[in-house]
Amino acid sequence: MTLRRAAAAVAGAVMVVGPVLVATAPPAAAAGCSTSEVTVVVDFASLGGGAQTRCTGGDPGSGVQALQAAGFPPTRAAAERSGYFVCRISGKPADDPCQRASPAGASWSYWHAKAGGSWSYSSSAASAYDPAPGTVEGWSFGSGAPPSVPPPASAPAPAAPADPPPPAQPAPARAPVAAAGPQTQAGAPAGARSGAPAPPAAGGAAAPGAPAPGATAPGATAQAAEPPPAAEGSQPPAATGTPGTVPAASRDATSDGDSSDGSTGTTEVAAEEPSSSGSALGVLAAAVVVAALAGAAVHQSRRRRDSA
Amino acid sequence: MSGAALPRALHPVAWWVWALGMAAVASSTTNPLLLGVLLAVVGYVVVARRGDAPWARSFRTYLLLGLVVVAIRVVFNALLGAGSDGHVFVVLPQVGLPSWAAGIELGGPVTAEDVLAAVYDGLRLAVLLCCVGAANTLANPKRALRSLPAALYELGVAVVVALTVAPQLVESVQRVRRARRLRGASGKGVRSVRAIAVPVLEDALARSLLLAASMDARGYGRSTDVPVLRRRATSALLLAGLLALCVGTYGLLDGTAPAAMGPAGTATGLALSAAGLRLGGRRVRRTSHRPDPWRRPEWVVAGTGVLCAAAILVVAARDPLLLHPSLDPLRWPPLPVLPLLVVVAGVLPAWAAPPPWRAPTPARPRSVAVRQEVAA
Repeated sequence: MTLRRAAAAVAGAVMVVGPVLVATAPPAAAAGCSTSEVTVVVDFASLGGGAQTRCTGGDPGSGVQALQAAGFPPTRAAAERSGYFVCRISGKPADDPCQRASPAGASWSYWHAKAGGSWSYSSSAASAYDPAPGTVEGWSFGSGAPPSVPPPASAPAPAAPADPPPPAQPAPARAPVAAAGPQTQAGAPAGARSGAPAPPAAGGAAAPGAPAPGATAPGATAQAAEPPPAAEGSQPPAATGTPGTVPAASRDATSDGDSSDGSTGTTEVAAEEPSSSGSALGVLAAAVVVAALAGAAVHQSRRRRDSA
Repeated sequence: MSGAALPRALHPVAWWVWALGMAAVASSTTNPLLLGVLLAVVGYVVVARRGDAPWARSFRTYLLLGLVVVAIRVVFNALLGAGSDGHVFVVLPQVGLPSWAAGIELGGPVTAEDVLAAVYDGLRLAVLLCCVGAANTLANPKRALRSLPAALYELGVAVVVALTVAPQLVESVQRVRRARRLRGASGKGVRSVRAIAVPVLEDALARSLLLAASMDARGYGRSTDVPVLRRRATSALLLAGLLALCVGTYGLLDGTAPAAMGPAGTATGLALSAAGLRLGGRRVRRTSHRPDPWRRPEWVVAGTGVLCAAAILVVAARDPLLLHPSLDPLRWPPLPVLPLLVVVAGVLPAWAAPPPWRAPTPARPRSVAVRQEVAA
């Protein structure tokens, strides 16, 4: 009797402490991305939308590719050819004609930072700078102020030393679990139900995957408790003990939504262009006018040469 | 000649106003079709209404200068253009730069958009240069200097004297080379340069002394007595006007300056400078011998320039994208109707201005048959 109560107390303590321990691993502030990808922070400021943070899901080759991979499609100023001048991000500001550089008071400025560091103004164009994975890229609209949110710290990688302690814990608890079998019957189906998404979620993860099959029921419920909140979160969560697939799945969902926003943004931009489109007919008409004037000029000069 | 206007030289200021109006039209658009038509219009007016003097043949030089401008722009954009987005047609080898030049990329892929942007911009500058060149070709520069305000007349005298130096130097060099060839010297090589330069410089010095003596005999360089207060007031007005013009120009060009700074500063500067020039002109009393008349053809020519510039500014304010064809995505440039009409209207001076006076050339025999008929 006392042994059973002690086992229940230990299981309860593990159930309470476990999620708390794991949940406090990510920083409470803005969510960062893993160290294999680049975080992109875009501060729309006066354009509306606030400061949005997204991950690129890989190592981009340049600042422009980072913007595109994170779901903020950039538009280049068409007539500024001596550098890649970003005049619009996600189609904003829409009233910029995007031929020449934007005015100094309403333009996009480009910032770099290390994860958790401070912003520094970029000395390269977005097409010439290759951001290292794990760093943060910042874009801010306005007169050249840095983005209003600090650069988020990147998520800690799953620590290898975390493996030995979990197996150490379930070992003494196995006996009480086996003893507490009939009591956890009700919890088992729940564990099995929530265990179904847990194995696919933790399939790619090596470290938590190893203790998961061998973990106790409380360990499994603690594990299963994380992926559902992770899947429900709109922002990609800081990688907890389960990096990789579930956050990647949620991020893919958000980036799909954002790329469709981006494509509607570009179609809106394309719809504004028709007033400056032409056809070969216009070129032909202009050539005819120029030829007529040139012929008249030649005729005039010949007449002057011949006249007395 | 019956029914046609008598040949005379149009007032040079009218030609300059027309040319500056055309230059304003050229600088407001990068549409290559409009710029091409504008160049053809200006070229036709030059051919139809230029005189016979040596400075009237300089339009070809300005066309060449325009071509050089476009070529320089294309080369720079191809070398420094950044970005492989767009239609790449050649890839130049990339030159690595040290880290302190990190913002510059040399070489790399060259896109059609880069080259086209350089052509559009270079064409605009080239047409601007050709408009100024047209004014130089059509208006006699010495007569244009006669229209300078009286306060700047000393500056005008210096410029007129300087303008006559170059043709005189060329003529001196030709004379000296001819004399050397008659004496048997070769006239070529480095040694002959010194042998030619010394007599030419002597000649130039002697001519300038002669010119100074003749100008002094005619009363150039005399100025009336002006009280000290008025002279100080003139200088103060001119300085204040220049400062206000600087502030106004900066306000017009900078987008983040207060909105009233540009127009208010420019207007104040112009008013103060005009007052200073007028006040300063009182000390120089001069009469003009046979001043150029300002009649109806002058009004038509100058009015054409002003109206074309105003019309294109209205079009640009209403629809700026119309005058700047898009490069991204790459499309054929459009030919908008209203700006085309404005540009073509600039050809009016070819008929409104009176024909220039041309030196009569000896009659050439038209055909042998006529002579035979006459003989028979």
